Amino acid sequence: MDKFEQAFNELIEKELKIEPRDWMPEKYREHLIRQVSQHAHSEVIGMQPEGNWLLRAPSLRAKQVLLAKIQDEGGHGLYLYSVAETLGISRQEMIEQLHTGKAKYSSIFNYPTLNWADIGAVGWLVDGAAITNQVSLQKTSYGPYSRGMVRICKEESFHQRQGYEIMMQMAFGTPEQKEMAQDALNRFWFPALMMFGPHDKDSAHSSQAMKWKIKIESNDQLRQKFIDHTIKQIEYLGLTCPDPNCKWNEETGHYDHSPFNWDEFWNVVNGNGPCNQERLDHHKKAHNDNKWVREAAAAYALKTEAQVA
Amino acid sequence: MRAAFLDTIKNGLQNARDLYTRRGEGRELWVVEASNIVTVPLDEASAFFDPADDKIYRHPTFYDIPDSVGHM
Amino acid sequence: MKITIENKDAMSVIRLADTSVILAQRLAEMCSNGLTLEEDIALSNISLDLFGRADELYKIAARIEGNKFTPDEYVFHRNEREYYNIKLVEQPNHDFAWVIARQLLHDIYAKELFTQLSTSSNHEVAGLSQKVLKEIKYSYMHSHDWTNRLGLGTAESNERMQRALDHLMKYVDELFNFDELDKKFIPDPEKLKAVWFSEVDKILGESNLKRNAVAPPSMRDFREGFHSEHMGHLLSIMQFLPRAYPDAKW
Repeated sequence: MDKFEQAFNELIEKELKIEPRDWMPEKYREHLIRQVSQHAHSEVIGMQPEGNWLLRAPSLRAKQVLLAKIQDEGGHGLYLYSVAETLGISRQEMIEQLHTGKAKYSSIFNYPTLNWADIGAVGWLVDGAAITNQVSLQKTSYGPYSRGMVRICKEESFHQRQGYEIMMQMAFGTPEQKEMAQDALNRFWFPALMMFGPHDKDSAHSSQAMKWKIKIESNDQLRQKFIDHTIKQIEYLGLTCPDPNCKWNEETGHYDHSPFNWDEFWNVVNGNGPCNQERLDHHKKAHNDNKWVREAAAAYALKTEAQVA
Repeated sequence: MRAAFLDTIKNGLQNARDLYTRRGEGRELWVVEASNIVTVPLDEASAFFDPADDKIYRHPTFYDIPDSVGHM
Repeated sequence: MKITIENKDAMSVIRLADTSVILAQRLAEMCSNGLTLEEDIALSNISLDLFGRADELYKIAARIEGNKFTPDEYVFHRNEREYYNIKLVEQPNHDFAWVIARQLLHDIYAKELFTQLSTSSNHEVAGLSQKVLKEIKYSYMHSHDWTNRLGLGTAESNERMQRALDHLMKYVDELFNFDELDKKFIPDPEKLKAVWFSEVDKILGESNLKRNAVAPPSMRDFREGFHSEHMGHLLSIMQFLPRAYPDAKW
């Protein structure tokens, strides 16, 4: 082990941060680029399922809240692309990898939003799960990622609350609204839990990431934390958890859950979810249709800078 | 000119080190000449920043969530 | 639900509110469709300013009317012919040039209008105008800069911007067909018109763009609730939930 690797290991050991100019193992860098770019893409693609209801938001208040929230996701994508750039990859390259399918994003966004309560469920469950993960990532070993997470967690603090507020409105509203709320919960419960990723015993990337302290808590630990926290929120709404086996277990001190349908999970990851094609096509279209604008901006910048010089 | 410039930068880094990292907070420093910092013109500051003041929905306290469902 | 607007000042405020909310909705359509994330976020900010502005304006109108209706009722329960926004802002986001051209023509109009209204005898309108002017100043900075970039960027961007302008100019004429309400509500309507033309000409001139003479379409005025075909589609999407579930609270 050379002195660089030793210095790196010491930093990790002492739970200090790795900074962009520090030496780092190539695998560490690769792992981070993969994770951070996937995280960035998730924020950006995540704008679409909520955007699906933005124009139909049913009050002026709901419109402003939802637009501000989706805008935040875009902002978080931007922070995260910047984090990844400190590792030596450009935003352009990352977008190309997204478009060719080389880079993934969180599978949850391949599910459709079919009624207004879905916007509540996305904020409450999907953002809730993401926040559980992101709170943990604030302690991640890569400095820029960690600092980005601190800011993102702070900004996201309203996201889950606005989602739950919609759920309350729907669950305590007319019978039709309550039905939509239950329907949304039924469809989003398992996909939200699977967002934490495969079980620890089946997770290829997890153990090395934990050694490097990129990941602080395991998939299963985070998932259990989320379940334990969320059950009383379902009960308060007077809705039914779609998992009949979700019961308090005195022995473990946690809620149990049924086995997950990992076949469905991998099927969606591998491109066959309800909206995979639509999400990518939407992103490509916005990007490609505006190529002429980016070219115009670049040409104008060149001309004006030439004048100044 | 170049040497003077370099010396200013060097000096700036050392000054920053002496002032800002006394409690072990720092592992990196950036020094930029003040003339290279782009800032919002004073007479435009209100157009830049005031419109955010009434966007109260960006803060968690805007939403009424019962305590009994736990921290959110 | 039949929404009525009886007071003339309330009607003048409703016109402003409608223009704000319809433009806000159009800009919201751009969310997740931006050319870059930076621009996506910028357009959302402008949209949020406009939704907030509309909300405040409806509240003022509602108070004048004795709070018979809420802002949401004005927005979600009026039909096309009961909307009084300028037709310019209901025009679609055909491409980014349309978004910018529409915004520029609107911002120049709104800037002078709200500048004048900041001395309105209605204190609520005057107070709100002061706040609104800061938002418009920023939005105008944005639409002005982009007009420069598109006008002077590439041959394609110049051509697209010119096409957008030529279409949107058709809906400018009616802005200045002031009626009795306008003459009472707007301190100096003729100045509004003069400032608009001189600012538009200045910015188009510096951007290698032209204000071509276009005949206004033979359509009745927005002040009578007349709109282009686009308006009905916009409303049908925007009003869907409150109309489909009239008993629900949102």
